[in-house]
Amino acid sequence: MSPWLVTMSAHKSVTHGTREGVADDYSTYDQSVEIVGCWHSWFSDIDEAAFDHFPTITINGRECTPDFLVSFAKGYCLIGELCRLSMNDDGLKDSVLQALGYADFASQTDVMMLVPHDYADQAERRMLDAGLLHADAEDEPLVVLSYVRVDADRVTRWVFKRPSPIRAFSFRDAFLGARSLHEKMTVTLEGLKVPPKFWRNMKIRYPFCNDAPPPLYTACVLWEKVFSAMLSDADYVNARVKRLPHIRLTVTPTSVREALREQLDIEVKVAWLRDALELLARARLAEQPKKSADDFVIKYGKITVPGSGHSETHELILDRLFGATSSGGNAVPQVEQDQLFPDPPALN
Amino acid sequence: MGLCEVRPDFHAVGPRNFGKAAVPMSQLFDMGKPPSFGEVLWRVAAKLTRAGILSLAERYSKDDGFFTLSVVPRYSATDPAQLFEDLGCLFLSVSTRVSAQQSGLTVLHLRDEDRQLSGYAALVPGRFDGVWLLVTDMKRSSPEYHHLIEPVLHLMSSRVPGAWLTTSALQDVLFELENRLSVTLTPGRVSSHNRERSSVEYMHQRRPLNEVFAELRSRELVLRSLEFTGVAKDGRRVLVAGIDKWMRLRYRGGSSLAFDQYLVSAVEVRLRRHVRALAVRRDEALSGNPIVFRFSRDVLTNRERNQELIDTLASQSHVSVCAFHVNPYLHVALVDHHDGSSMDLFADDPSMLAVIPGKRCSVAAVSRTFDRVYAHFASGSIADLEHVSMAGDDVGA
Repeated sequence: MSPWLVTMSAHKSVTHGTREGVADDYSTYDQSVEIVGCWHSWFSDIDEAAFDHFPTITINGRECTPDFLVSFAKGYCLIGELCRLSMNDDGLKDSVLQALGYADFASQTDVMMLVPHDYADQAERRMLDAGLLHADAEDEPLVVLSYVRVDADRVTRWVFKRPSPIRAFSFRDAFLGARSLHEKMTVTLEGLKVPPKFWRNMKIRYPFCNDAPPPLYTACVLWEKVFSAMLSDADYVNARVKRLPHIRLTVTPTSVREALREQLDIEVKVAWLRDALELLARARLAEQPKKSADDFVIKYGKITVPGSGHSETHELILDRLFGATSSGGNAVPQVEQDQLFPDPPALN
Repeated sequence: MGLCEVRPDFHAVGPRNFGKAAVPMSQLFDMGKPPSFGEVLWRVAAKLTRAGILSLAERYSKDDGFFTLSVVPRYSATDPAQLFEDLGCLFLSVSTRVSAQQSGLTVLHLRDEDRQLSGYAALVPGRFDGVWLLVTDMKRSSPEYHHLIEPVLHLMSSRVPGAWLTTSALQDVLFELENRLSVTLTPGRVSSHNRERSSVEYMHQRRPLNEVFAELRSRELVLRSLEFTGVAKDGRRVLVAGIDKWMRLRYRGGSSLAFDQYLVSAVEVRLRRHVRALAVRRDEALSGNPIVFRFSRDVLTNRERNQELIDTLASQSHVSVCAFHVNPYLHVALVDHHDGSSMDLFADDPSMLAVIPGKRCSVAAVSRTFDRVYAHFASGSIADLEHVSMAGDDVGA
């Protein structure tokens, strides 16, 4: 495998095996969804641009999945990749080579490498020092941008900028006039500040980006937006009349993918869904009658963990995976899987 | 709308004897115990009209000091009687009769054999398309109402939603009623609650309406229900009635015409407005027209307040809430397990909460969510459709 095909994306799920690690992966992925949403929003206002939120492209015979791809009518392409660069030399080199490799996609392709603001400046300097980039080269397609969420103002914003003015060359998009990123990022250095109203709808429309989400994140999207729609009105009426503690819903990763497409109009990979269903099984919110088969029985309803100080779905799933600790830090005994509702919903 | 003159004590005809030769009253009823309002509705169902029901109620109120007619407004694109029957039949015995005099008017006879409960109600078309009124003489605190009406309305709610009123909207309704009837409304029992303590407070002391609302405002209380007597300048008692936050009305006596024309019509208008404001499709919401709850002041000002809002929503036993981001902006997803409605809630301004409904999302679920926010978190109101531009004007430095 050539070095640039090594996946080094920021939001690649790295389950650390601890509650904190899993929770961090969850919020890091959520940030990535927002960042890609910012760019999708920006380019959706540019008529000549077609934004691909889930690109799968073939480069030199290999399938690649960068974070986004923007194709322009004039043949110019922009590939975006979110990176949380490794600070060791090999890791840095791998990430840069991967990003540079994306430039082989088409003749006029630039690559936007999005690096956290904290070390974007340092990273770009190290790329120059290591000879991976050159300050004066006109034909290098890789442009490093820093990203940071600024929460100081009344309205929070995502801010994208060049980390330093060392390289005078950047995106080859002068044909976009006032909307040229070269102009905004490299000439005027003003960067792009994006308040939530521009990306919130994108985030809701596209709750995933192109990298494998952490299973907890997917499980939450399914619990909140997909499973509920796999049940009929009659199922809900029946559950209430019979005072069922939860509704049993039999699914497969494929049936969930269909329901997700129906509800959210997006296509996700079956493997992401299988990972999430397996996580729910580990949390005793689903059963897998035959371990080898794809059938899962979801015990769907409000998740409760007695003694937990939490009320949100992702925290409650974490409680069920790692054992609940109340806000006072006392361990709470593991909860049996059939106690999803604290009280059956009263009907009469 | 014609008025059907119904005289419970003289002209009521038993259901099985309808159209036959008149049967002596003594054989129909124990003369010492005249038929209940509900029984009369059932017997004369074929001749009933909305005006007829109200004039019958007025008559009963004169004879029975404890008589109450409850009017519960609901919104339904189609006649809800069939749905009521279908859902009610899952745990009750339901029989229906339809009026030949007024299209869409259905009288229901509801029985819970196990509990030995029985009662009558009518579903009556409202003044506007989609608005329906459930009217009954069952008292809302009675076991009959609790077992025969409430659970069915609850099961129906995803397709036949009701609505709720803010305290200031209730004030508008009542002040408007005072003006239009040229009466002074004297509040009787007033029930309210505090957002922090959730306790119900009653005000028994008789005071003018504006003083009651001033106190509710100053103590930041949410009005739950208010009973009142409307008295004309000459001291005549014009109307004795009640209204609650969920637009449910009580008629206790006085002019049923005034009750219908000035109070029932006021909630009919507001029910329609409420449903229209919340009936937003996901595509519309995502095109920049979310459903917006505007707080009276900046309340989502820090992490603690945002978390408090999440906890307020998540502590409901029928709701799962997942926080994707808490502060400084708020993004949560919510699913309502009553009917499987899902929605995203987003706040990037401390004074408003935007709801983007999922494809499966009922007006009732959005209404319940806002009701919860209003009653247990902070005051505000449902805003008119908000347009949030997606143009790139202020993207940039």
